[in-house]
Amino acid sequence: MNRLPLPTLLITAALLLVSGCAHQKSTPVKDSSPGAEIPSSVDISYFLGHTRRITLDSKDGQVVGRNFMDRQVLKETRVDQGRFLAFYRKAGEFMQRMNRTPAGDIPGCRTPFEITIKSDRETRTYKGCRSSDERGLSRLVKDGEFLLYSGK
Amino acid sequence: MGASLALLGFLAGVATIEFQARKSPPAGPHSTSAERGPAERSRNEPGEDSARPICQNFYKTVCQKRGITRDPTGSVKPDVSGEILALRAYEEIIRKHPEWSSDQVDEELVRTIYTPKVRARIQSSFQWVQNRVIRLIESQPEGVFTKKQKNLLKKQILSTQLDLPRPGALYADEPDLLTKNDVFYERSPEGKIRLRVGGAYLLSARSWFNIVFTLAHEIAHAIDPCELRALNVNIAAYDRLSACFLENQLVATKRSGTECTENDQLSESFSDWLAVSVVGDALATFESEFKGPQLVNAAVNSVRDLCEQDDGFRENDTEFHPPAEVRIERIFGRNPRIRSIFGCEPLPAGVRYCSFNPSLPETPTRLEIGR
Repeated sequence: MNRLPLPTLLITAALLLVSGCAHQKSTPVKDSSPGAEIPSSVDISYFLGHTRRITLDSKDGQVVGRNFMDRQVLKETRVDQGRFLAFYRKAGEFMQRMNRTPAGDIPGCRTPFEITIKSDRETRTYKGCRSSDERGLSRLVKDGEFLLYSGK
Repeated sequence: MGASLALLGFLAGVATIEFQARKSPPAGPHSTSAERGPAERSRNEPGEDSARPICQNFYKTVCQKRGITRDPTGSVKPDVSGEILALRAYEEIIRKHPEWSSDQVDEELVRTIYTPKVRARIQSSFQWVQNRVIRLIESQPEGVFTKKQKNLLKKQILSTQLDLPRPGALYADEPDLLTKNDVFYERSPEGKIRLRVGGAYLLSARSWFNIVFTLAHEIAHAIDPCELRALNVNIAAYDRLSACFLENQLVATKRSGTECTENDQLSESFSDWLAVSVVGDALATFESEFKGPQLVNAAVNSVRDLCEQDDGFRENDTEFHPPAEVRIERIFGRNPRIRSIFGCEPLPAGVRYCSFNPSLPETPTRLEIGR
């Protein structure tokens, strides 16, 4: 049986450890609680001529969604729990797809955005630049608006 | 006559209207002090500025207005009003068609907001602005722009496309724009230059003068100093203009060599400056048609949305844009043509309005205003 020499094993383990850390775009707080993850909120902040924000907060089985423009609430409404969960997953998938350089590293980004999703297990945040994210944020925002204004 | 036809054409949403420069004042009542013709306006009487509040403080005149402001071509509402209207329309469509998908709702929203009449109005205004910017470029002497430079600048302007959604051809890659007030210029990675117009803007800004300023500002980005720099184009007149902006504090003071980098205001100040020049043309087109307060309201409406919004919630973007007071008081209010239209006194000695051609006099004569 062939075995790798110890130094090679150590180097390989170190590389795996570093690559695992570098892959992270956010700083999740892991929890060892058993059972499915319970999403609690989605927060999308972005700038497009004005400061804008869509938030969805789940508490005690009820979800409240809000749409802001320059800190003014344009809409506040209850949202169906099932649809909130679907949107939470969508936001998570968007964050996973985004492997671009964060907005802070894009000089002169005029349309920055930040997405934060929280569950009982972790908080994940992604920062990006709208003009360089292939419009994925626009679709996500639109889906969020549809969720809020369809009133289901 | 030319201005009346232009006004009717704009209001009727005719696709192509050529606004003819007025050669002589039309017949009609000009009996009030606010309705002086150009010949009278060039004579400044002692204390003249005190009779015209707008001359004393452009920023205050524009920004003290609350709610909706109207001029003969239309009104301007606060940004948030336009967005609330767009979202109400959106919500109403969803309410009437609960089984529709998000895309179907968007398609109906486009039909509701971007009507043929509205599209024609924006398209005709866009063409008018393009023509005016081309004329501004062409009017510069050889010492300012060479023929080659003029051709390049004109090409940039004419290459800029107005991208308005139609049903069946939405802003598919940017659907949330339909309910937003934003109007912006962008150059795609493939080099395509375009302007996009948020749906809420069309509900908040009906005044032709606001549309002219907004479109002119965005079109100007096609030839702003930073855009030219990105295209590796170097024009001496632009360097002089940029230095003038800095000298007159139209842009925040930066370390040398940091222009067009993060937090720089140069491109936005340039676009404001060029848009103000185009608005000067627009106001001059109607200065004999409109009564004094109407002309003032037209001027107010052209830059109304640069003010801090009524609601107090606005977090102004002063990172890339100069403060509203600089934009309105110094870039708009110091423009010699704007001042001449309103009969304001010339700029004080030592205050120079920036120009591509620094050899121009501080205050244009009637010949230079030239229609």
